[in-house]
Amino acid sequence: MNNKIVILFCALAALLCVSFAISLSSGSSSMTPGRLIAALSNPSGTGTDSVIIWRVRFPRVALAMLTGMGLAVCGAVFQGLLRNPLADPYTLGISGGAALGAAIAIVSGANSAGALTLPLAAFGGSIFSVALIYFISSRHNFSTHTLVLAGVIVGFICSSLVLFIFAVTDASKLQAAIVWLMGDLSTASSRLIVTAGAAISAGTALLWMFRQQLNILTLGDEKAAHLGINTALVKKIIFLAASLITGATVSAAGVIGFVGLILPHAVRRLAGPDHRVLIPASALAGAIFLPLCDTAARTLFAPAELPVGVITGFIGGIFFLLLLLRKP
Amino acid sequence: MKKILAILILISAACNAGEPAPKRIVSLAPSITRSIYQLEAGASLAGVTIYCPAQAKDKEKIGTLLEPNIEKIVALRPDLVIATKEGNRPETVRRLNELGIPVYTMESFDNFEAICNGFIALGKRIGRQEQANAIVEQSRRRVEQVRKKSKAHRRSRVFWQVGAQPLFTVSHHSFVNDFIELAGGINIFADLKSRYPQVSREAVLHADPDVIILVAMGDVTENEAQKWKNFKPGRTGKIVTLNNTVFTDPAPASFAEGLEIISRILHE
Repeated sequence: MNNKIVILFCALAALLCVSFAISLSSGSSSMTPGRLIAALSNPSGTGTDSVIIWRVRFPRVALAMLTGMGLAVCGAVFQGLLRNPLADPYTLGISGGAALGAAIAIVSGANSAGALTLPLAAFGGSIFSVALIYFISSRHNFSTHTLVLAGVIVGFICSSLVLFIFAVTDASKLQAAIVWLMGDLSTASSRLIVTAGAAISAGTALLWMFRQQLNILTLGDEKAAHLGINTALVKKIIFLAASLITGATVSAAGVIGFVGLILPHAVRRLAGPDHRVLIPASALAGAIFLPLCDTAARTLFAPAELPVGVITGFIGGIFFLLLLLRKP
Repeated sequence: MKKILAILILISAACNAGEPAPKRIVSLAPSITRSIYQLEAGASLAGVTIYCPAQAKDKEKIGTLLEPNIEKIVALRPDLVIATKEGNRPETVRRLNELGIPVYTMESFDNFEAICNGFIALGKRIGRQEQANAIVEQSRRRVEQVRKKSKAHRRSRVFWQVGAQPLFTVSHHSFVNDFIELAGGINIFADLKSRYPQVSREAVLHADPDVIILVAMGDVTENEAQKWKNFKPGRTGKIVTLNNTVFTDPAPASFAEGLEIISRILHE
């Protein structure tokens, strides 16, 4: 068992390097290996190749890794915490709130005011839905099914408000909002990446600290309470940490579906349900998967770019169906 | 004397130049690409969008209006990127600025005058001021002619349809409204707040237009014309389908051409 896990982590680490290398070296402008190496070894260069590798591709790959990691960890934790295989930042309505905030920012034109308006609006939206879900759940002592139910319903309310906003806006602004709603890694500034990265890392570290409590919580609230866990408190902390991560990912990269749902499942199939393994393995899997999807989105129809959500949904969905086809 | 003359010429040349004319322009919108060709600066175009007009088919493609490929733009080493405020996303412009690429953003225009001013400003920026002035002057003359002619006619009520499901039209916040107004028509939805408002079929019937103009774009086709024929405005009035990019192109010459077409529709 231990050996298997060591092998798993070695494989994931190797895949992470491969994913990073592939993502950084592929794009719409093809470079010969010689030019590629010259550009790679010159991060502060002002030549076109260096600028493309280090100032166009690198921030994008870094953002994809961070958001992939954040989304996968959130999914893993939500699925364990809520003992529900369909739980992820989306089913829980958190990204619905973020989408609402972003839609308001784009449609009202506030987005043109500054680079941070849209991320802040998205983050504000996710805080709004988290607060709403939190408030409702707190009246039911954070019971698992209230959290799920409240999340799903808040998600529905948010998406109907987004549709309402779309129905009453100019078509020309709508399209920009739709691009964002399908996941957009192309335009994040380096400052935003650093901020979002800090929030995602802090949230992930916090969740990692609660790995044992998470394991116990998966036995059910009652048993966990018998084992000396303050279930309501632990759930609050975990819920807020995961919400912080979701808010940060969505505000930096838009709404990217399926990563938080599929990757933790795939990892659970390979590594088992122990959160001590599941959290870091999901983090690595997310950091491997999303940059590769984004690379496909950037290059498949180059110079046109696909929204990364199209790729994650399609490739991720098919991959997951294959996993399901295999007998357990 | 010769020396002084030479210096004077040099100074005036320097003043005229202001910023040096860009030699590698990337256009982020089909309408900009068209304008650049009209300004005879097509040779300076280094990159255009996938949907840019046929003239530019041999140019490098940089993706689409909404999702331009930043990497591709950087690789083309442009000395100027031209974007539109209405079509492109502000994130794109910010990202390009961050990378040290100069971006010139065209405002959105709500009437013919603004189009002319914007066109002259564009011409100035890309070192084609003379061409811009000439085109604007000529377009203004054509527009003035149409306007004079239209004064002799009764003003008909016009419904301008740009989308079928749902129905979209234009208000006075869009330059398209001037096609109707300057040709001597009345836009039945001119007073709505949004630039391209969504309206119901019922509202159109209630406003009772004399002329329905369908701009063939996406889902507006001959089917739409058939649909209106079942209603009173369709039976008694005129239904015209327009299939021409001049009606979506905010540039002076296109506007003049479009206006002449609309004038013929309304008065002949």
